[in-house]
Amino acid sequence: MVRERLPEARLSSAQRDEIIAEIAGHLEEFYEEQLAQGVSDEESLDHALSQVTNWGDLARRIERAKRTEEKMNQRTRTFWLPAFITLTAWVLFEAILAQTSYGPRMISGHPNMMLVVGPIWLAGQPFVGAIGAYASRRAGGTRFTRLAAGLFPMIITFVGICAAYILILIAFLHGRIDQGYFVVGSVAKFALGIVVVPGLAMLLGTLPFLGSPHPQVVAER
Amino acid sequence: MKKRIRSKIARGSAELAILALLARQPLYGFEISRRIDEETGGALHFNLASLYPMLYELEKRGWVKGRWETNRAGRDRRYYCLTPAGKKKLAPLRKEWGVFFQALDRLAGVTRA
Repeated sequence: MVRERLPEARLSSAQRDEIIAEIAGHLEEFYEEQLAQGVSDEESLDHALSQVTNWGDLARRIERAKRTEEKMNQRTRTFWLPAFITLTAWVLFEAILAQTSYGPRMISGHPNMMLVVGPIWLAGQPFVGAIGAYASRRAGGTRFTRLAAGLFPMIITFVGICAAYILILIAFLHGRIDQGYFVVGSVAKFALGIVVVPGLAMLLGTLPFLGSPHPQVVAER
Repeated sequence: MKKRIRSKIARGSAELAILALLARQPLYGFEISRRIDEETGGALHFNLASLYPMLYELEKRGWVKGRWETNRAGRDRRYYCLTPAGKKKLAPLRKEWGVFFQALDRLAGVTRA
């Protein structure tokens, strides 16, 4: 009865089934309570159904309440999941290379910068970035979301290094570290080497996926 | 404008009523509407059409959480309980409404029972 009266809303079938089950349960209990109070069968049914005067309005209000929930899921789909996939791919890639001689090596070049080298390692970074940007685009992510998902491992690394840098700086200012200038400078060089170089390579990988949305998403719209 | 203010007051009071009730124990939709009706002597009344959109809205905000349970009679009911975020929200809501009623009291001489 509820299924017939409640108009179709832009909700998943699972959500709709759950809502119908809950509303039907409510009406059933109301009806039974009326019967227990001595109200006739027909009147009990009328009283129960009179709780909703406008089923269309109820469906719209429920949809509005539920749809923002979907927006949150949308964020998970377009950013968090692709970001997690990128991070996993990056960790796996780094772990595999660490077992071989193709892993990255840090060398001092310019006095204020430390460069990370390793041709295979560097060549793999764009693919890692591409995975995240592609996954986000497929889920309908915005350009910014795709970029953030593709660069997620570098964002995490950068945040971690910043946190370490601040801690070292605090320790240095409190006189806890000898040769503080050297340590602070080294961390800065390390950050540049480990974030900027692979970050640029990852950015390169995300570029092909920052354009138009995925065809499937356009079709769904 | 008047309608919007009235609607906001009704909405705010409904939120407080539901959260305060769920702070005591988890309840399912029908029971929530019945308790509110009983405990306010019918002054506040929730029918199905007003209750569920509100419950889903509170759930979306993360203040309540619903879970299905089957009772001894084999009937499935969706019980709602207050989340930690909902508990946190309840205290300022109570305070806001306290201030609101005090202000109304001073202005219009509306005394509370």
